[in-house]
Amino acid sequence: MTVGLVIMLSIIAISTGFFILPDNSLNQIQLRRIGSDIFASLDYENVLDTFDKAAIEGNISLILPFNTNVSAVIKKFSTNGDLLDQIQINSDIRDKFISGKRVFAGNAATNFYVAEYKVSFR
Amino acid sequence: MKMKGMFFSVIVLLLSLTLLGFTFLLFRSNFESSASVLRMGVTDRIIDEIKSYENGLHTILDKAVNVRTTSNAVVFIEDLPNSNAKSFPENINSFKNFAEARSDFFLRLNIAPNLGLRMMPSQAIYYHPRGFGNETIEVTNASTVARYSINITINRTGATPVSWNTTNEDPNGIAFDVTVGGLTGTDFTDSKNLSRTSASRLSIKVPGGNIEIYIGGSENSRLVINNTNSIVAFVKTSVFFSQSSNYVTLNDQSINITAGEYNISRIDAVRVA
Repeated sequence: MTVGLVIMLSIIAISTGFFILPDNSLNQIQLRRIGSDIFASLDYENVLDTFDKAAIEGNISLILPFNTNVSAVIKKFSTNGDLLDQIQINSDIRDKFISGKRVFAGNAATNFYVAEYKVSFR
Repeated sequence: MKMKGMFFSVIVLLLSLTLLGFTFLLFRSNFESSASVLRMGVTDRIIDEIKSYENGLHTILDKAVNVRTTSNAVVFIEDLPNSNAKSFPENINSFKNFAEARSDFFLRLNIAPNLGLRMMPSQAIYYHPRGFGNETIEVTNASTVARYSINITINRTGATPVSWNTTNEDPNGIAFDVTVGGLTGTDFTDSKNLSRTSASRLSIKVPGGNIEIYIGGSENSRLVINNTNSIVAFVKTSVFFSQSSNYVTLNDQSINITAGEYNISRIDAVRVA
């Protein structure tokens, strides 16, 4: 009987292990979607290439879901690909984030930009 | 008692194995759906990238030719000859190189800066047959065009009023509206229904050369605007269709993105309006 109980408990433990294995890919996709939508929106609104940190952070805060955080580094390049400047948007997120990137031409098409963003749940 | 214990153990063991079987099936199903979700996520990222490159290319294009769509028309605005003939291809090539170097995926922008713009779904093409920056605009493959509306402004004193050299009117033909401004005297405006297959020609006589507009002819409903003058004319060409939901792509150009590790590849036309 003791052997039976030991085997039973072992099998239940293994089953529980299978059952509770975390699956967070949907969460990751949700975060990626949020990041992508925010930076697409700011690109279309010609906010990103203003390189105005306060304006960009203000616009992000207007559309960011309450349970998420976003940080980004926006890099400005010459049309030859030389890095000219960069700004940090919000404090850099260091834990459990997904990252993404948006490449775009500024509104005047005289510079190119890359926004490298991170999104996480609060 | 011992038999009861063994019997109990066997029953519990069988129940546990059943539970294990179910949870394993659940795990496998979960694993497979995770893989599908992951592929969806990568596809989503690829589509996002394509949209961002299209937006960048549209921004650059917009400096040379302003293209926009309305409910049932596509509108092109540019100077003729176009003063951005030199900077446009340079900017396009720079953006192509920049984007290809920075994509997270294998990216190829198959873009040639020849400025052929394909109106979809009609497939009519707005282009410069003798090269961008040259003096001719043409709308070809235009059999489904319902109406042209042309607005030309020439900032030059001495331009004389406009006259039709040839008209082939047809009440069932293509509708044609034209306004010519910037002339000495009052602006010229006219509306006609012209034959799709017999050519009509309108001349604007400007000192130093003419601006001529051809409609219809051997190629059904074709439009040609030719500025033989060195004076730059501002030209707004509105192309109307019977259907709505029109959009514009770069003709015969494409964005090719491959995410090798997921075996996902996508080739898209470059939509710019």
